[in-house]
Amino acid sequence: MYRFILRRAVSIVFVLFGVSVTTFGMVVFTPGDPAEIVLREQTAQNPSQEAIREFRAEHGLDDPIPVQYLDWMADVLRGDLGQSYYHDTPVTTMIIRRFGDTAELAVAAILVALVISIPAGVISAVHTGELPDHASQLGSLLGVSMPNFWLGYLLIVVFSLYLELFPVSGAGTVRELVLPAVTLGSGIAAIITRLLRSSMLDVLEAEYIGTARSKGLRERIVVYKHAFRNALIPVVTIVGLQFGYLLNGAVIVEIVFQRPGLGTLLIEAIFARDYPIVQGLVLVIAVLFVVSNLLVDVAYRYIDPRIRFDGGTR
Amino acid sequence: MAGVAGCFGDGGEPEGGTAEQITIGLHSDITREFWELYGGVSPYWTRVLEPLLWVGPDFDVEPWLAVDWERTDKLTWEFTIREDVQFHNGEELLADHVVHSIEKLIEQFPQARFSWRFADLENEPVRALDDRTVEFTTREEFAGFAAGIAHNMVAVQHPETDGSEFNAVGTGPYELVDVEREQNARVAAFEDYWGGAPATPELTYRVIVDPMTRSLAMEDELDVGFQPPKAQVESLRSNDAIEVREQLSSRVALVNFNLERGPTDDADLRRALNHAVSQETIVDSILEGLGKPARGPIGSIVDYSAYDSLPPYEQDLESARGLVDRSTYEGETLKLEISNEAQADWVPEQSKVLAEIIKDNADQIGVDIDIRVSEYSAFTDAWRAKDGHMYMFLWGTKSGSSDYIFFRYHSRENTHFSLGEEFDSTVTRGERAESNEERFEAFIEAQQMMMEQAAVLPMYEHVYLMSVDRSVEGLDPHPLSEFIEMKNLRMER
Amino acid sequence: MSAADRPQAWRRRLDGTWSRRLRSIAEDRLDLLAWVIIAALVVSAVFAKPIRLTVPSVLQTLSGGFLAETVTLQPLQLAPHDPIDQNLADRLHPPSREYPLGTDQLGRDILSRLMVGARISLSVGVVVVSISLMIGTAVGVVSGYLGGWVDEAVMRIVDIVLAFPGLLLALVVAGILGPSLTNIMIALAVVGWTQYARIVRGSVLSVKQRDFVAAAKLMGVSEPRLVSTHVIPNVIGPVVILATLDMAYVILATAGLSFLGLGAQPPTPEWGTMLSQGRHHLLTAWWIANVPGVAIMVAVLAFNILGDSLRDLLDPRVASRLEGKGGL
Repeated sequence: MYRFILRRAVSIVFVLFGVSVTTFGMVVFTPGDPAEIVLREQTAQNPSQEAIREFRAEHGLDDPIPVQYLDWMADVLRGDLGQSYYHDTPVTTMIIRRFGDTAELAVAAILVALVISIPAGVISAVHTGELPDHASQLGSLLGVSMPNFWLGYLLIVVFSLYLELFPVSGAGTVRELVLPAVTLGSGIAAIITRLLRSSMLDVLEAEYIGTARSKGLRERIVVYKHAFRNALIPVVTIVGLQFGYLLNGAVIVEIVFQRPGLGTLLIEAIFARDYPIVQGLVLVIAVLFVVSNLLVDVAYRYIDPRIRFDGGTR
Repeated sequence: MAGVAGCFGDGGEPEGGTAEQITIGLHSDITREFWELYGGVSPYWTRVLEPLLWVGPDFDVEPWLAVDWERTDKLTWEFTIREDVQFHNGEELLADHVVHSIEKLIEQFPQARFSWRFADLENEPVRALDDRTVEFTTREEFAGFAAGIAHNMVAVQHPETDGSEFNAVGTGPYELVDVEREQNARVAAFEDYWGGAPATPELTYRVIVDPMTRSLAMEDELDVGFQPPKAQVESLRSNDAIEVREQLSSRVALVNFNLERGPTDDADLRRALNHAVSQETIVDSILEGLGKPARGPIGSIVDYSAYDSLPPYEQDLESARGLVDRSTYEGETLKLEISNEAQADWVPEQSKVLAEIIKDNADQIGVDIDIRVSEYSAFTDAWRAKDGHMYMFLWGTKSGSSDYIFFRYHSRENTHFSLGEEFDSTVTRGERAESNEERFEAFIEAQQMMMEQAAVLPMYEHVYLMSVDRSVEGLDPHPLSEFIEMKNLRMER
Repeated sequence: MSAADRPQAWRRRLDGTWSRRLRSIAEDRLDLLAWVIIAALVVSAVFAKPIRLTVPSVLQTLSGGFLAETVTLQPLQLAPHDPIDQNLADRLHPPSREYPLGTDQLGRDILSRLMVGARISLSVGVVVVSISLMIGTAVGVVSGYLGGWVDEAVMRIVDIVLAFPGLLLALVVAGILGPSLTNIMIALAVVGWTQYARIVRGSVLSVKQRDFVAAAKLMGVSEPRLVSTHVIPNVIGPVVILATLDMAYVILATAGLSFLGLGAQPPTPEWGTMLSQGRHHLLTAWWIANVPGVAIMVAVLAFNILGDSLRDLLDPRVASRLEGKGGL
């Protein structure tokens, strides 16, 4: 176990190094001279060649790229993700301010997903081949196929406009969280439902003879319970691995529902070509993603020590 | 409506009487990081901070925190500060506060150099002569100075104001209570306001940038909603509880040409594109009739608009094609830069659709256009860097003056396009004019030059809309939505 | 854990059930539906409007003027109108005989746009999936075969790419390259090749370890031949499934990125762009946004159903590794 964690840790350090080089390179090789953009923003004038030279020298933009990388890394390790081209607020502050909102949405979406998928997956496995199973399977197919950006608007029209149950947009209260969480959670719910169904079926298949022999309803329930408990292990994993999906989806959901958060910030920064913000966000998200995957791996191994790991990221 | 408002207030209010709280939906994010200069919220609409001078409903400059002003020399202006004005923290407004505010503005908002022509910081742009008198120094002779600083962004703030914690200490009728970033700002009535206490105890400004979402919220979550999308007006009007108010503004949606880069440096090509587009069709279709076909860069309600003396460029594909043939255009692809609607103030609504119409019209006269969408700051950066050929803006003013568009074609700034020496001198003549007649005459002449050279492609004069709950009173119309007073706003419950 | 660690298992199952499943695929109405949808998409993609190729001027000169400036590959036009022709007089027209799915805010026929949009979505899907597949397969074969530090390096690169949530990386890449369909394809391929590389590499490794391979090698059978005779049959199943599910993913992702404004630029009739622009008319003209919404969903659904039913032919353990990625 410890050797496994150690090995994973070493590989993580390597991956994080690669991630940092990639994100750094992203900005270094983007078109446009940051010196010119920043100076134009600060002075509202097109800067002179001299001013650009001065700025580049002052900010170390003429140093060899490896030196620039090390400087940048030193700042990053101190928690300083740099400065936006257009705002005075440090990138770190901008990210911290919006982190909570996205986390809130992500947690709510997971809750919604579990509330939908656990009953759906169980019913589907218990009634294999019957109507509820077909319904739940079709439902999960729709769930993965439906574009979130369309689902969001449909939910707004139905639940906010016609039924007047939830507000159209906003953030802060639980009522404002419901529709975005449902939009984001539906896709995950579909994935979990299918996984729960198939892993329960696996276990049930193994227990098949026993089930067949036990004619009593109570015994069958015991078997189902057992199957469910076993099927939960992969579910835990998949929930952990949905972190990336949540971040992908949060971008759209935040835009549709006008919620502040990392997704909105990322899109705005991309359209503003404000690369320091993009860089900082990508780095933070990748680190969170890598760490969460590691935690899932460790947890999975802890829950079920029989699992062999071949050293991949997942 | 009241039920929804109740979820923000304390809910348990008695029936009847006036509302304790009013919710106002805004199209522009007043909590953006940009506004840290003003304590974290925009000085537009919120009425927490106030400017020295105000703009009245008929575009006159009115005394506000300054009661009197006078030009004392070519470059200097003296302003007398109103007495007995209290800040929200109880301190009295003094000349030093004005000095602090203006210095902070010049330091943190670089465009101040040409928006208001303050001298650079090292040349003492502002100083207190005594407790009640402030002297401003401009960078050049500028007759429009006073009208120009009648602008919400030239606001007076107490030094305690701290944008990083949403602390804005001003003199306005409302005090800032709290802010949720990108969501809303709540303000409460300031009982000691110099103009008398406001009618409603609390206002909530909700930020809903997306036009569709905003119009959905107008149906029952907002008491007052700014800028419903024109496509939604019909549906809003079918709601009996809501009234949609229209007001012609001074702003003009137009396309600026890059005059310094081929092929748009050719006036014939620019004229051809002007002839390719039908302003009437744009207004009648995309705007649902809610707009006025524009003829020039300055809206017809401005005193010195050349609207009446400008010949419109009628849509005429034949002569447009002729002009293209005569021009230096050789099949290049013109880049039409537009901004997405995240920052709605300077961006016409449905920019993409407008851009598609222009592209389609240009296609018909054999001119190829590529639409490029970016966020507002990248868009303005492209414009200043003179990258691209055409830029779509909603030009206009938020002050008592409307002459920004001229600056953009005056060669004194290297970010601006030059329309030639004659234009420069005409604009300068207007800016230095002693009398209004002289000033107006020069500015009208400048607009005619712009259109003769087809420096811009005007599309429409902007009509701004508000959806207002029928029980709301005290919301007076104003051609500049930024100067709508909120002090008398009240609502029957 | 990786798919190809147990290739025999799924092959056994495949062999045993193939003929039976083949019959049941036809019987399975859901699968049939998926095939019908995909066929409809392909037909409208190909025949929506004529396909013309511009011949490079070099070739024209070479052929001595025999080749025209453009070559028409497909002359038919099924779309009732031109997808980008504006007709402001007929804007926001509800579905009618003239415009079966209505018109948009610029008076363009939505059915025609939808059909041409199918061409865009399918070609983006095919291009991205084939590029990912080719890169992934090449990398996987090389990495698995050479082993050693090459393998180690390649797998670490895969780890690094997978360290970013896929779509976010694509979003950032597309954002930096600038909004356009081509850049979306590049961005999705940059992210997409890793899965194929892993599967193929795993399969190569497992083949390599087998005794008869070592024996064949001793007898002088060339390595490329070993790869083609033993590896390809082993990976083709999982790769086809992955590619099918990937089609669904790429269509959804393209629509999502275009919805955000990073993909197709107006006036291109891309589904995500159409939905994005139509949302301003959700209440007054529901068809503008909802028609492309349904189109995206149906197309994605069809590829997902197909991928699922192919996957059911496999060992479920392999199958669980090939979960659809879920998009925006």
